[in-house]
Amino acid sequence: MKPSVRAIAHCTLLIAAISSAQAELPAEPIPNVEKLAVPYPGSYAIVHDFAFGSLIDSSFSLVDTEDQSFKGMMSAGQFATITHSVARQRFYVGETIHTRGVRGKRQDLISIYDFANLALVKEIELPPRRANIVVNKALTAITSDDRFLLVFNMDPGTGVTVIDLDSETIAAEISTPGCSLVYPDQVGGFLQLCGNGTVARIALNDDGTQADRWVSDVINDIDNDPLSEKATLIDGVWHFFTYAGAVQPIDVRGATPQIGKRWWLASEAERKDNWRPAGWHGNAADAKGNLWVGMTPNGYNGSHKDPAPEVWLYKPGKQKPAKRIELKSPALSIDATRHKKPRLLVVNIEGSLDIYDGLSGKHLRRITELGETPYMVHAIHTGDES
Amino acid sequence: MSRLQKLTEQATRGLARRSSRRSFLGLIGAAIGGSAASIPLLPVARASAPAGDSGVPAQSTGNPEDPGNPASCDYWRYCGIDGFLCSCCGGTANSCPPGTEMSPLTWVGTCRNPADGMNYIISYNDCCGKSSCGRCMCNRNEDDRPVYRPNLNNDIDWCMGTSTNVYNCSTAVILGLATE
Amino acid sequence: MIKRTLSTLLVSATLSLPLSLPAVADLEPEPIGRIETLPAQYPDHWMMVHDVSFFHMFEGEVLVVDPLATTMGEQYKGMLTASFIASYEQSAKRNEHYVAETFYSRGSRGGERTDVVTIWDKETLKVSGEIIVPPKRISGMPKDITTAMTPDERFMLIYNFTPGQSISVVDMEKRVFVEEVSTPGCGFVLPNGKRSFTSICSNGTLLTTHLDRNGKATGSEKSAVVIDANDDPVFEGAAMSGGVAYFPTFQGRILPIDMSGKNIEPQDTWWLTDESERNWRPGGMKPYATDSEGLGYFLMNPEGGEGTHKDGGAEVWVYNLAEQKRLGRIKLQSWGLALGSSGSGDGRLLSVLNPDMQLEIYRIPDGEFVHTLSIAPQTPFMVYGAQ
Repeated sequence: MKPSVRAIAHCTLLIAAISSAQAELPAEPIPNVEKLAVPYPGSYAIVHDFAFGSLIDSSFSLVDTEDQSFKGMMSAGQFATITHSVARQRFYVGETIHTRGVRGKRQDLISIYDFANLALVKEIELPPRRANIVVNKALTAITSDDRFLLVFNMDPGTGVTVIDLDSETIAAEISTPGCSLVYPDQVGGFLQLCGNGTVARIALNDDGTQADRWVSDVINDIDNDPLSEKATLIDGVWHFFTYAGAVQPIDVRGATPQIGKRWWLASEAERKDNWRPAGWHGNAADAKGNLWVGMTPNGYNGSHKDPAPEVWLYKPGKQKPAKRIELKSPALSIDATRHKKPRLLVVNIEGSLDIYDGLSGKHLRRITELGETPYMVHAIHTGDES
Repeated sequence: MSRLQKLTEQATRGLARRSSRRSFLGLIGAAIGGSAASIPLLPVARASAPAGDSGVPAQSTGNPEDPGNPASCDYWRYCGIDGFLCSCCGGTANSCPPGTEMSPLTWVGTCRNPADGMNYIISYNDCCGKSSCGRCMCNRNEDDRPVYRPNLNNDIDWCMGTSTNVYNCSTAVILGLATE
Repeated sequence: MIKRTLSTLLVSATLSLPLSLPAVADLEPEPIGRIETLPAQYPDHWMMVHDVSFFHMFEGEVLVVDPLATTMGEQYKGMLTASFIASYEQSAKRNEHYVAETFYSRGSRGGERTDVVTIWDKETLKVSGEIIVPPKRISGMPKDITTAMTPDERFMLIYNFTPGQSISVVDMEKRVFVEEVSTPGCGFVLPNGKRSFTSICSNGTLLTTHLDRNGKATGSEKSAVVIDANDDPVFEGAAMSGGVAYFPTFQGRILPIDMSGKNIEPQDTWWLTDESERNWRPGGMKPYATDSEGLGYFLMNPEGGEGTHKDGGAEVWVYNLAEQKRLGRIKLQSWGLALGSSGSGDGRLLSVLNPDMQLEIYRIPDGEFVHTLSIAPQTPFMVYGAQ
């Protein structure tokens, strides 16, 4: 009477066979697993549940911000990161997993998923030193030529693992003493922010090793008004933001970064009210160069990660907000789609995703039940700008 | 404590509480159905989990012979389901989300289709290989029997015969009409 | 080397700190590296709260809780991790916690499966050992008869379901896996006699297996059909009192099975309810408990019917089980979903899981409400008294 695998399967088949002939509704196939239509429309986004209360079981949910549908998810280990390549139709999830859950041997991985199935395609084992840092977009990046994936390491020595995306193997390890995170430039290299207030730029050889290293003057007053590491790339210019609200553009279109002239997000009067940039990742841009920045009033020493009750919209090249969008619920993090009519995506303090018309600021819809602590949203830059 | 901490703690606690309350009151409400309106909790259950509150828009099979909202615990096929509805997780009532694996084994229940008044054999195949979807928790126990009657039980993680038994969500697949 | 760098950093940071302090500090510098320990003998009213973490099953945990403390900090004494709907046991003799759990080499997204019994020291809450067992333990909603200790605390028994059914026998003294005993058609483990265990079979019989002193099965026998597995099945578990397992049924009867001897002895069933009360039925994730005096507690639903067996209840009914006599009815503060108990004498406590996933504490048998615990686990389905 042991209900073996075969017995149960046999039994269900039998029932189906006997009864399907008379049924109004036909029998349905088993197994049956969905596939996703590719390429993705430009309305897709990834919401990252950091799972703060259950760090080893985080996840990335793929949603359609146009119709609120939930397309699928990828499970991940602790302090995960996500990067994607539209050309390769791949997600690259960085994760740390221990063999016994919260104990045992540490394994660091880049796990590769395909867009069409959200299925694991390949794992690349990393040296066990990827930075275990709370959700941060600058922990990984793909170079502008779509050739290398950069993984920031900290043990606590700092460095970068370079992964060749053609062979999906580790190409090189670069030691970057004193400098952190990765911000791709437009010519195959990347920037880093350094602890002494300089910015470094590393150029790569064709094999992924370091070709050249350039260091700026001291441009970052870390003690008094540091650049936040949460930044946005607009038309080849990285936009960094100081805690007090100055914008520091760095042009990375050429081999030597050009440190741009700073400007203020807020007027002098607004700065008197201490309007400052805020949010876990409070800045984003679209394909046209519109810039959105989460802002909080009554800023203070320590307010730089506070939720942002407003998002200010700066039109391309303009240094005054064209619109102040009062959010339905304060933002932890924001991003923008690359549609003709860009959508402002906001993961809010209630743990749901609000979707706004990016230009008018009109609240369009909300997607809920996206995990325990969804801290980050990534618009997928699919190339669909319709 | 910073404002952020306060706010996010409030928010995440609220979220956790709401989601668990929704889930577990929801399951009671759903399980009791309309038959026991006298249970004092029921209105709370209803209030805490109104249809659509999950943020999952109502769905339809498009077939009038298969009525109801597959993203809702009230959908007729779910009379014996226990878990997260795949309709809210990237799958449908009878298919798994992308990148998961459908278990070939499971238990079967019998649910009455309100459109044709007939009882169908429903197979509650689990989708496996990714962690808990966490959306649209639903538990209804019509004809569920204890775990020592495995083929009639919904407490078992039916991710068996799959490459892992990691549970993601549950489907409700029509096998055919119940013959009585 | 990594560690050295880190500790050098920390040491230099802490060393340099006092230099910058004002000359007269109000508070003394404090040592770094202090780690709390628990008493070797937990007070018997403490509870082991199993949070299966339904939304993140790989991060389940068992909390050590003082349910009479008034603040969250004092209630929460510590925790053990318990991966993938684990099963908890403990040994008073060896002063150890046991967690039967499942890991995958790639965490929540799979890979190679490993099932283990993890052994935790009760004082330090550190892992003191691990026994690898066949990767077959049943996964599903937790039941307190998924695992058991033999009465002499020598062997831990683990129910496997693949869906082939068997029991793994693990020697907890020698810390080795002994063998897998096939129990076709039957599942779960309730210890009986000295070193025997009984499983519930899908056809309504009970299968009793006997082990020798080394944990090897020496024989087994099946009972007559004692369970109406179709129309009025027993729950997966029983209120244990005086060596008798009192199994509640869905409809509200009690099936007593004398488990004190090597051979079990089923007794006549009786009703928890009068004929006029048959709308009251037991229900919940674990609708039964006993206290240290052997009184039985059942979670009762006033609107019982087909399909309500997991819904929980509004009241807890208290019984002298041997006399088949109801002693009282406890009206709960909120709806109850599962019961647990701890303590002895005047310090007997009942925990009731409510729909907000909080634990309410009552003094028993009188039912005086103490408070709702401030600790906030996600889904604390199972509660065990500390031994």
